[in-house]
Amino acid sequence: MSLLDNLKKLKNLNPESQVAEFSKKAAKYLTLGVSAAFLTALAWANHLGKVALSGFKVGATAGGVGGAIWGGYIGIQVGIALAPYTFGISLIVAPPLGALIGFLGGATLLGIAGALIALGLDQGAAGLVSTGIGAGAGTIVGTYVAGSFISFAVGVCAATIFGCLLVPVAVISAPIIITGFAILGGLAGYVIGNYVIDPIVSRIEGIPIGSISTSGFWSGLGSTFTSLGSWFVNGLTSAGGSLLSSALSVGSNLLGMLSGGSTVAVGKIAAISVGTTVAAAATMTIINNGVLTPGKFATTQTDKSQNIIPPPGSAYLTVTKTATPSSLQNSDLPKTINFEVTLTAKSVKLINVTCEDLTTLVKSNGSTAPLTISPTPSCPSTIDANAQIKFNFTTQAQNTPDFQNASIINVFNVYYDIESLALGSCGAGSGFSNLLPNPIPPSVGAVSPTILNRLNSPGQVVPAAVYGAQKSGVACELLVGLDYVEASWYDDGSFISGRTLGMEIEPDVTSAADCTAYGGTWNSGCKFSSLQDTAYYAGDLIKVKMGYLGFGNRPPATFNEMVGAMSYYNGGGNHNCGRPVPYTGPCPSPPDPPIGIDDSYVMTHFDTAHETMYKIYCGQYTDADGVVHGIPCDPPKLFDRDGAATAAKEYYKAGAGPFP
Amino acid sequence: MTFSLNKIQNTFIRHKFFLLAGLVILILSIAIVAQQAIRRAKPRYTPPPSSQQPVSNGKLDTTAPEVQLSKNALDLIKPKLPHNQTITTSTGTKVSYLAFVKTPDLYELHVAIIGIDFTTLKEDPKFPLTVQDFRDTASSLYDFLTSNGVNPSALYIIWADNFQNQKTAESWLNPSAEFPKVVKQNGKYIFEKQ
Repeated sequence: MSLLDNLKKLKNLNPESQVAEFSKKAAKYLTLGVSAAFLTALAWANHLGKVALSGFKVGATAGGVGGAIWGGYIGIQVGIALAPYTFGISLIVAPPLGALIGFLGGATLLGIAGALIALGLDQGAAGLVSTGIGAGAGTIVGTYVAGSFISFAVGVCAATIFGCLLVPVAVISAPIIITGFAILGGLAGYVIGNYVIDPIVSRIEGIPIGSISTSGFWSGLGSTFTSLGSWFVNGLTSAGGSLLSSALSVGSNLLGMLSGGSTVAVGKIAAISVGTTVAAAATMTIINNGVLTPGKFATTQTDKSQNIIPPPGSAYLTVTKTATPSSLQNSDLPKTINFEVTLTAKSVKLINVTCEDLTTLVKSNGSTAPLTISPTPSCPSTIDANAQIKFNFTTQAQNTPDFQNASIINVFNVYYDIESLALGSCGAGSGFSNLLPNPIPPSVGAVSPTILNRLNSPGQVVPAAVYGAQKSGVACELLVGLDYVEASWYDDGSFISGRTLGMEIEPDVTSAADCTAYGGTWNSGCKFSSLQDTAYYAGDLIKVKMGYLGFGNRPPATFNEMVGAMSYYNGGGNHNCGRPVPYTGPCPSPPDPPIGIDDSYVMTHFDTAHETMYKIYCGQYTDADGVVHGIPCDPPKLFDRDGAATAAKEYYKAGAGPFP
Repeated sequence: MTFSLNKIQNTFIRHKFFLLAGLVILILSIAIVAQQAIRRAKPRYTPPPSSQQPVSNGKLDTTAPEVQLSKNALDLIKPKLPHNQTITTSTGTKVSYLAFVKTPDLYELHVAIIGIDFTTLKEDPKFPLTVQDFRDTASSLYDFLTSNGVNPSALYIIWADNFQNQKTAESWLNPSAEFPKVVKQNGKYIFEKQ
């Protein structure tokens, strides 16, 4: 039976009964209607995914609590007004019923508002966020208006019995009024978000790149959103153990990306990768467009902390790359983007060369899609020493919503082997000369040359170092130098610590995953059975030490960097300055002289200043917590071997061998 | 009866706006206080201990759910690495850290922290401060991870450059019976009494 039918039936009743009956029906339909609306909204939010559902839960909680209190308050008024016609029953029923209806209604509308806000945060869409806020504000205003109408009806009811018929009418119209205001608020928010906030933000973003304020604005906004997201997340996590965290924080991630915070992963195995990103934002934004040199990746972006790491193998190959245009405005679309990649082999021939290009569109909502390039770059299988290869290819930035406020990321990978490596030497073009002072100072009192013959074939140290260098990108001679100090160039000693292969646990390996990744076996610690795996691990460990020096996780590119990394590799404990030893050489004062310049593990016999150096620790012990501590030499003891840098230099100077 | 009812109704009507405003403020206040209480009540994240990874036949058990979870989390954050950040901790110490991946290691996030000495002795007066600095550094890293959609509790994180220091770092990470919450008392950082 419809509401209209019920109203017709009311005509036949006396006024008192009409009020009572109408009120009863109004309460019933209102409860059913609001319940249905709540369930529908919940299903809608659930359908949209975790982010929307999370936002809905937060909004619904706030709206439900507020609505229940407000509804209960209205219920008291209505209950009092209708008490004379309901034998006082309305006094008991109306307040809790009002609270229930208020709870469901508030939860529905503010839940929807919360879902819209959460989705907006997630997608970095200011329009959605402002729509949600507008809807929420509209709900509150509508509640006030509807409440006033009900209060008015209650007042009329006090004056005339027919006025009391207005009470259920006002009550039943309340959700319509509130919803109407919510919709109006949402529309206003939508207009403000899309036509006021977005253009302002875009204009600010258009400040030329390099100005910190550009990304600062976005970062600030991103952070604000992150905080909001975090608020949602924690609230929900605590409420229901929800796992929505990730999704909400993506919003700020995207904002960061729009401002140019994109990083291109570089560093494939035995490969060179160069990344370029072109961003299409509302106004100009340039992201990583630079040139790779053996030392570092130059970038026009000065306000971002991410640096592109010199890729493995950069000692053998230089890659330069440009993108034209290197920046786009949304209004520039459609646009053809031209990439030019130049490969230049250094002093060794590269064999088994393959190339791949990965061009990806990162949309404003964070999703990605591969882009087609034309023509597909095709590398020759070999590149002669000092030869240069150029590639030109293009991709299309379409004038579609996907390309608005998006980034185009291009990564160019080159995989290759080095012909000279098969000879069992580090190769003339290993780049180690870049790690030595110029001119190279003669060693004083070096002893490592007397055992160079341990490196002759069929010795495995040099082939292992070649493998480690290929894999890690750290200069082959540097690894040979480390192995001298750690294992005296014996084939059965690990590059990492000199421990016997297959027998002893490597304490530097941090976990089973780390161990497995480098070919080791884990059993309460990591053991390696292959010398070349330890060389690879040692190379990557040198890069880790570079991270501890503040240079980033990359191979040393200068003498100072190498000295610091070698010193940290050994723990840094054998530095001579400030110790009770008669060392007279230079002391560190970074950047020059570098950290490690006074470390006997690194520098002994390297030059005149380092002819006499001292061993600081003569032993070690492990405390009850398992922490290893050094035992100082007492009295000071001369370090009578060469430092790692000295041994590396001596091997480099001696050439490919065989050694007498 | 009618008179008194009208009086009650009028009282409600007159003060409705203030009641509504008060209600909104009340709800917001409750939400904020609850949020803060939740934050203070428990650590936000607990990454799985890397020193206790599942192993099968001497190799990492890559089929284990926690290992897969960590791989998925690492894949999510990889495009944002390396990440370099310098923070000033709650004790005023300046700490820098670099979050990165080691190419063949598909399952762990590695972090090089400059300014934390994991070999600090427990007897050292600066030990609680060092622990707090590390916790603040971890918290900063968690913020970076969560802001990029990664749940730190799903990710194996290598905090140190050798196995022993990694175990030490994991034992410091969250307040425990051995290393409780660090508080400042009379200008010094100490572990809160149990």
